[in-house]
Amino acid sequence: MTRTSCDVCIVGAGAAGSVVAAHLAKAGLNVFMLDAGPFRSPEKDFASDELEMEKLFWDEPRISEGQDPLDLYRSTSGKGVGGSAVHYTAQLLRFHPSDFQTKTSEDIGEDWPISYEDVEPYYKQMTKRLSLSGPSTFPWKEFGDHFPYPAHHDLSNNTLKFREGLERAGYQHSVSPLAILSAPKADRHPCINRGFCEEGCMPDAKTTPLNTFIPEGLKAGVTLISEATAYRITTDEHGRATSVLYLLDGKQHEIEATTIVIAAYAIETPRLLLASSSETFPNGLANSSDLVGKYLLTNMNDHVLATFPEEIRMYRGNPVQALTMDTYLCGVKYGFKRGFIMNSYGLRPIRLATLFFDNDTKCVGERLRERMLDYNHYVSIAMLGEVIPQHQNAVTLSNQKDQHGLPIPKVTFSHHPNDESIRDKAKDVMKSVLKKAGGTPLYHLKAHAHLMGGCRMGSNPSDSVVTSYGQSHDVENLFIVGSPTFVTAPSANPTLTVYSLAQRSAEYIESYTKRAKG
Amino acid sequence: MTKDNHPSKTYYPTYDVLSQKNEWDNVTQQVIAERLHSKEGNVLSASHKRTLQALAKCLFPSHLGEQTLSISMVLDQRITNKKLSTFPRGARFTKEEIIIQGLENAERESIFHYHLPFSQLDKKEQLSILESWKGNDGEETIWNAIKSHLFYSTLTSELIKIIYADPHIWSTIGFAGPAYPRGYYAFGPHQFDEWEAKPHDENLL
Repeated sequence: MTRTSCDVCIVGAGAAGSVVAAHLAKAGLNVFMLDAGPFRSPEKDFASDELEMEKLFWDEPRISEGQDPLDLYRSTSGKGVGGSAVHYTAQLLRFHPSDFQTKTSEDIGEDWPISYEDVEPYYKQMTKRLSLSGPSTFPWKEFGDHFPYPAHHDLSNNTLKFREGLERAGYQHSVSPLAILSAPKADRHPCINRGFCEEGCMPDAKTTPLNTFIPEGLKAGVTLISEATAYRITTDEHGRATSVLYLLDGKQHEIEATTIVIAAYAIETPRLLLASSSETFPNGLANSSDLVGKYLLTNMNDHVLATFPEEIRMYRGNPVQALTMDTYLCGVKYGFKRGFIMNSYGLRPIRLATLFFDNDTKCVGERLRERMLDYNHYVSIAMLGEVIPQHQNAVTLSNQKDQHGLPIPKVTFSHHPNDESIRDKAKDVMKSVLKKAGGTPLYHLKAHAHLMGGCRMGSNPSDSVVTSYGQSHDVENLFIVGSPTFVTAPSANPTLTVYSLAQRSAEYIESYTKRAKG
Repeated sequence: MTKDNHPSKTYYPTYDVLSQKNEWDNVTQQVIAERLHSKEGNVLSASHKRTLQALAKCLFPSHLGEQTLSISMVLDQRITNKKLSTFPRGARFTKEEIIIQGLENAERESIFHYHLPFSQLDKKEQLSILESWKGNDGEETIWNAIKSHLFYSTLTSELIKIIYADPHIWSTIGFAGPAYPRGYYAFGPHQFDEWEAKPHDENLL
């Protein structure tokens, strides 16, 4: 076993880990960052092809059970440096002030230990650093404002029909705030409307960790070790985290660190903590609350497709281009809690054919062919809906072992009745919008996107895993960053909040580590 | 579209997405070329492949008249390259394990019922076996750990991906395929780029 030491060891080089690494290295700390996947170059390792680019998704076994088992492969995972932010649609929205206080405002879910005001300075900072494009006047300023790049103007027919339907149905609508360049920036070119955003952006117009925080961190001295699988955090007799054990090229390695940061998304983070149990921490690391892995969250991301007489060709341009936030808190009007947003959402053929079969196992052969022959006549729109936190939705360790002999994680998920109310309402609204646009709604295709929760933040160590800075209540020098710390699953896309909270944590981790080093 | 004017055939009979392949970036050209001329993998046996081909003909009868990939070779390559190493929802086996064991079970079931390999059964018999798998656990003596419905859904999902990764199927549905480095420039109602499929609906405008 090789041994190295550093100031901070970060597990996971996605949106959260890369922000923390870049900040700490620039602050003069010696930072190591591990990632389980490869370090890819968009130009050499990406392709304009759906099947090939499945390599961006998590490719190791995970058990998915419960009444509504989640697809843990595509929109809920990412493998490789940059994580799932490499294949996101890049719609970046702030959360609403009420998202941080759902218990207080609507008596459902739980309140976060922070408010919108705590995160707002970081939202502003990240809006600039990620070069967000967006309209000069965004109708919902709490969700985003002052975008440094102009809105994209090349809107697809899919988006134009969606906006037409919204207009006729009386909803406000706007071009989406996107982390996709609408004008040149340094040596990066603006978007060419290639359409394969979810397959990784070959032209590099989409802003991801691969063209921001990763190169910034490397320049500042971060040591990035890719294809390294962390399997255990060790602790000493005082209950402090001491090192990260990982596998690389079939061999075991160890990095000792003053501070350890886990930024491995919502399944691998609790998996690593639970797998790091010891005599001092028999229930798993940072788990005195017994909440590691619990309150796992996702978003509903259902699509509705309508046919139109004219050709639409939804493959043109980036999939998500426009939205309405008017339904964000619509539940109060219809007898349920919280709500959803709606987007235009173009689909490529494999994704669409797979959704057809996932939602109707009879849709093979002739039925599938008939539907797919109409591909160019469909308008596809989607909702992103809030899922209510539930204790029983959880990541645990199974008795099955993976190729390394490590326990395979088991994810259990079932929807809350409120989720179903949101889903039903969103389906009706999406159908009515498409009808108003002149289409014939045909298919409601259920899906999910994003993972959050599993290591929720809070002020009280008995009902949360970490503080609002991601510091473990139990293990002082152990931090968790990224979506696992989320308390609720708002319907605004989560990644701007991931980047922003990671920056907030990074500043705290810098002071903590410098103090701890003496 | 209504049932009356729905195309039983493609809207784009003359469109060939591969005619544009020289415009694609080199990496994508190579990816598609390797798919179209897939080499043998080293996981599926000849018997597996015969069963697989027969099943694919039952599942996707008319697609197979249009697509040109060797489904069994592409699937074998994907298994060899560890692309089927995750578990499907609700399962505790990898997709690779489910498909290989399922192909063997299909063969055993065929011999059990008809004393012939699956690939040698007539279509009606093949469809009868396939139909019995949908939503069912399958013949208990044959489908033990891996149930027949799990094999059916896992195999079908994987075949759908391969079929809709075929440039000839893209041509059929009018999907313009890879679009880098050129991108799309013509935007607005009924505006398309020159290299895409020619609009078929001009009479509707």
